[in-house]
Amino acid sequence: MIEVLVTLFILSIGLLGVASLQFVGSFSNADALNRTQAVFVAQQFSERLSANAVSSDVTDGFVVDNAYFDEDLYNFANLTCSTTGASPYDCHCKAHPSAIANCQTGDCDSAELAEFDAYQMSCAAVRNNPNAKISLTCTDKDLGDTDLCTAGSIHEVIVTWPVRNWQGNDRVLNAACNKTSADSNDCVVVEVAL
Amino acid sequence: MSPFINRNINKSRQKGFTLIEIMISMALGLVIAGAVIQIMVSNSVTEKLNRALASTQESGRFIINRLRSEMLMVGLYDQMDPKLNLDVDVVKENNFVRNHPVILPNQFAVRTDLGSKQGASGSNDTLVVSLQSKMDCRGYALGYENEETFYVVNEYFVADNKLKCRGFDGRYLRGEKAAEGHNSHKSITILDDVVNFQVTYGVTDLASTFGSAIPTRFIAADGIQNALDNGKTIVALRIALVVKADSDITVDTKPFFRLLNEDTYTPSDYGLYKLFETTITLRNMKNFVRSNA
Repeated sequence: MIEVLVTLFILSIGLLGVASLQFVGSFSNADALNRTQAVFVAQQFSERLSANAVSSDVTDGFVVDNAYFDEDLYNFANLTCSTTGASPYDCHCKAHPSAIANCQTGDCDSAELAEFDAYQMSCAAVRNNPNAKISLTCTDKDLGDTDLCTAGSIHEVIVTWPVRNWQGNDRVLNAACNKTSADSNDCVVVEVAL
Repeated sequence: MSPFINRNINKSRQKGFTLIEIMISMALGLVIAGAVIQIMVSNSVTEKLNRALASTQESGRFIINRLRSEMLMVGLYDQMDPKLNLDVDVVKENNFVRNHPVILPNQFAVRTDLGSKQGASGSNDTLVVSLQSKMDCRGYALGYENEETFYVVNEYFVADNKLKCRGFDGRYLRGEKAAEGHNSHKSITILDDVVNFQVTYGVTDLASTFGSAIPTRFIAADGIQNALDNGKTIVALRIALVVKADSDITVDTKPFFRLLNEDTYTPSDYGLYKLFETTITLRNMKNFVRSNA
């Protein structure tokens, strides 16, 4: 009698362990998928930057249009969603918004290309992970000139998404992904010089 | 004598479980068995989902990396390459490849159908590209000596939900020599379970981009001829494909995908589908256009 109860107790502890293993496995898998998708987005964005590199007016070498560094163009900051509660992907990516130049139906200049690329890459980021954000920053070599990212500077494409600790597993957060200590993000960073 | 007696004495001291005790322990045993079965069932469900996710991820990574590395070389022609086979006029060939990085139908008299095509109303596209290489996309040297480079035309298309590819000797297509070692122009499958394959082409013209040759517009294959007639050049490719997971799991809601220039695409069943997309700047073409300024 008591033997069965002891068995039940021990087995239930073991089964709980197996069940939590399931969760951990699934979470790691989802994490890996997020990371893969983020790598693709970052890689494609860096490729688009090099496709759209133009020769600088002020220095020798190639730069991208200053519009690329306009934060409002990313993550649909310049668009409003008419349906409340809809995910950004459902809201903005189902059809091309009229506010954004469409470089598939007409010719674009370099500023319009920046807007188009920022929009498409934001869509690509939220397609797999609704909370993903994309940004482009530059460590400008020469702050004095009119190019926001002087030729030869490092462009940083960062795709971030929030993560959460589960059951006290201490997750080591990367400082590059978290601007403030309150943030809890994972990210993929691609650095590119044109 | 004595062992027999002893056994009898011991037996009389033993006590069995009562019926109630057995019933209770069996009931508890059932609970345990039930829990184990529950865990096993959920285990197999999660495992299936994990495998499906992993398979899409694997396919996507593989195909994006492969297409990327092959497309980066499109438009390459180096007539100073010491390994280049010199049996034909390489100056003319150089000129041809650089001006035809993407092949359109009716380009070659021996295979008029060979060329990049835009699939009607959202169906799969075909991509045909030119480059100098030591083998075609199937790994065949097409009769050339080992390590010798020649003009290759690679064709990528989808048939029976498989992304396939085959390569041609460009010199055979241009009527300069007979085709060799081509294995009856058979295609090989490079990825299974591809349900949608779309390509757009970034075109530029030097004047409107002030010599930078940035792609001002991404057009489908059916618009290329018109763009070329207007003095434009292809300097970038954008490829998107939807891959189905290699597992029979179902999802609750059908996703929708927008592949490049196409209208929204929704898969026909509730399987797990993932979209992969990449942009490739054709370095050879961009520098060629810039150098012509």
